[in-house]
Amino acid sequence: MKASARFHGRWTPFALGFPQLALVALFFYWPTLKGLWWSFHLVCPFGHCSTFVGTGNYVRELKDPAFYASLGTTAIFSSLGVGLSVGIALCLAWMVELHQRSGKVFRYLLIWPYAVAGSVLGVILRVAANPTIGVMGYLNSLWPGFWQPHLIGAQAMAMIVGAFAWTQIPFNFIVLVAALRAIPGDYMAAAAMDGATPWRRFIDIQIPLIRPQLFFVGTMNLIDSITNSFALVDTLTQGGPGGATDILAYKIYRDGFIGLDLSGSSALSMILMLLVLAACAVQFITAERQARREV
Amino acid sequence: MTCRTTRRWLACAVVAWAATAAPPTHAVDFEFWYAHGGLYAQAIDDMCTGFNQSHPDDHVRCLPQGAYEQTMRKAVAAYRAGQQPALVEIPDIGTADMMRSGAIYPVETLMRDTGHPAPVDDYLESVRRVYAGPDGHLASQPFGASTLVLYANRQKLAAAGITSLPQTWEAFGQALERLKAHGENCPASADYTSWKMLEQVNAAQGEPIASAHNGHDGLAARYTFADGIHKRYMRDVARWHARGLLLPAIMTHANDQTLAFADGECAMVIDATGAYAIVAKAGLVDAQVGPLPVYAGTTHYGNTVGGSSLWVFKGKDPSAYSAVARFLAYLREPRQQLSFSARTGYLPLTHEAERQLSSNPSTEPDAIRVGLASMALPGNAYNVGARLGFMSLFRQIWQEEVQRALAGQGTMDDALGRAQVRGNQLLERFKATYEGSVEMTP
Repeated sequence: MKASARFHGRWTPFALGFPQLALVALFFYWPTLKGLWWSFHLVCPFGHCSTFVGTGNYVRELKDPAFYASLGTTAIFSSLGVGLSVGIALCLAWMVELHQRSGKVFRYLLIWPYAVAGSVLGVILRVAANPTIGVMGYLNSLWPGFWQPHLIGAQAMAMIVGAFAWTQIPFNFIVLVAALRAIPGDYMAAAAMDGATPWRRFIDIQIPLIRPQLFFVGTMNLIDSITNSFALVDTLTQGGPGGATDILAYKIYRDGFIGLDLSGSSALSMILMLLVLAACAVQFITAERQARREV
Repeated sequence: MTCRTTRRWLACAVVAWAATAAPPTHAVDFEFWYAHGGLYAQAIDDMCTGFNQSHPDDHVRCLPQGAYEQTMRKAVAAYRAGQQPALVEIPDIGTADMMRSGAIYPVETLMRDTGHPAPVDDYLESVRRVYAGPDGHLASQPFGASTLVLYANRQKLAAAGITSLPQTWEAFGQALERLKAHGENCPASADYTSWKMLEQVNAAQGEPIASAHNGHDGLAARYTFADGIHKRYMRDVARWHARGLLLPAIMTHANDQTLAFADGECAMVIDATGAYAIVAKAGLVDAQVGPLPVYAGTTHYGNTVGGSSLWVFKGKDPSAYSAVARFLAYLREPRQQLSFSARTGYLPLTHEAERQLSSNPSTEPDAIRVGLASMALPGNAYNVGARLGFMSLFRQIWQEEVQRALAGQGTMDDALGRAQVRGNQLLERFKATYEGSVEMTP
């Protein structure tokens, strides 16, 4: 590295990084430590009393059938949501790259939805998925009982999976389009001259070459689906019907913020954090292994 | 302070400027957080403005904080951070938490300390008992009180040949059938909440929902509703739901049971007196109001109130508390109560206000008249509301289990049994949380 590209002195880099570190400490580490402390106590909402209960909160949550139901719901939601959002984004990116001329227009159009806030989308979808007005209301008038997300859990799940995919696709699309464009044109041209169809090129050249980006968007979507999707659930289904969309992130919000059960929801947060860490670790290890095999 | 160094001199200048710039009045400023929007918020804001105009020495800042649950959550967070408002509106289900919070200045004590003793006996007995602490003194000042009544669309009922409002659940069921047979798509709508279907119905029937007098006797209370009248009622509800007689609110065009009645889509609705404001403001239907039905051959006990009360937080200046006491006294004036009641459908809370209202029957909205009459019926130990912990979580559990039964996953009886078991786990945890803590001492 050139000498001019380095910071002078030992403390300059720390000083420059300090604001960011302070923010992370204030808004992540400190609340996490507080949550850890709460998860080992029974605390009163107003903070004037607390009783140390050791692992009592964890034992109670791990014995609670509602926890496992919520865990199962989270697994279904995350796998369907991530699969759908990566799959559709990949498909769109591929098609846009396939047709260079019109691709430019579509590329902009497809990036736009990224600017729509989650709760705005929730409200839009609430109207769109309403069983009495709009398209669904029309279908319901043709076949009564066709669309009842307030009664049928699978339909409610489909609704939030669809909504989640909608929020993630633009981001995935940007990353994947960039990845596809980074593939040297020579490879594709050579394959085309050898008579490989677009599909063949996609499977054998493009997918293997953009695997790191696929892995990246997959991981980001997974983390988002586990930790960040509560706004969608809150505006669309509130965890219902009958707990069918009560994903862990929403259960934590509900127990802690609506129910004022700070201890139980802190214990759940800690469990959720461990799950996210474990999921990331598994993904990183598999990706690492694959990368090594390829080298 | 000596103004020698430059810095000190600057500070002196600032202090001197602040002293001259300060307004000449010594208005005591305090915050009041309320938990309403729309029509209700306008009515509250107007009362605040009225107070500030009539009391030049006091200044209340009235700030909306969202719905009940959000306001409660914000109040908790604010108190923990030492940023609490002097006065906050808390929903009835928060009463158990607030009384044990150690964070409040009981209203009756505050009024006595500040020389504005509250005429406690003037409160309607059924209202006062809901917010009185274990010692019988008012812990908070009742504010938005509402109770369940039956609303019916006069024209639709007449068209179906129903001449009188159903007084019993049996008659209500028959009315639903007749409306349906007459081609009514939505005989009635419901949002299937525990407040309406469990807490209010059981209170009117004089039946407990939990032991230890619905929790008024302390932390040992456990839910007991799964058998008895609630089971009977919910079996009827499940039947009405299955036959398309009692539509879930989301299946209506309005997406809300009150609006679905107000816009003429549904013929009947069981709703709070507070919903009257919306029905009257919409002005689309000729609404007839009757008392909440009970089962034939059972006694109709006095209704219980739901809604909110005003709590005073500890940790403010004595001067602020005097201002708060004057504000509370102002809100309690019959004139304020009645204008708030007329605009919102919430009930007047004191005998004096009730007397003034009934002396002028033309101004009395039907829902208020019926609501007050239902509350005046003789009561027993079970129509003074529930004082149970984690009540908001329990309401969600109840709703979750009932939704499952309505979707055909298991029977209603099993659903209620499960809701009771899960509710009792919450109560056990609540007991464990507060066991070491002291009860509120007045």
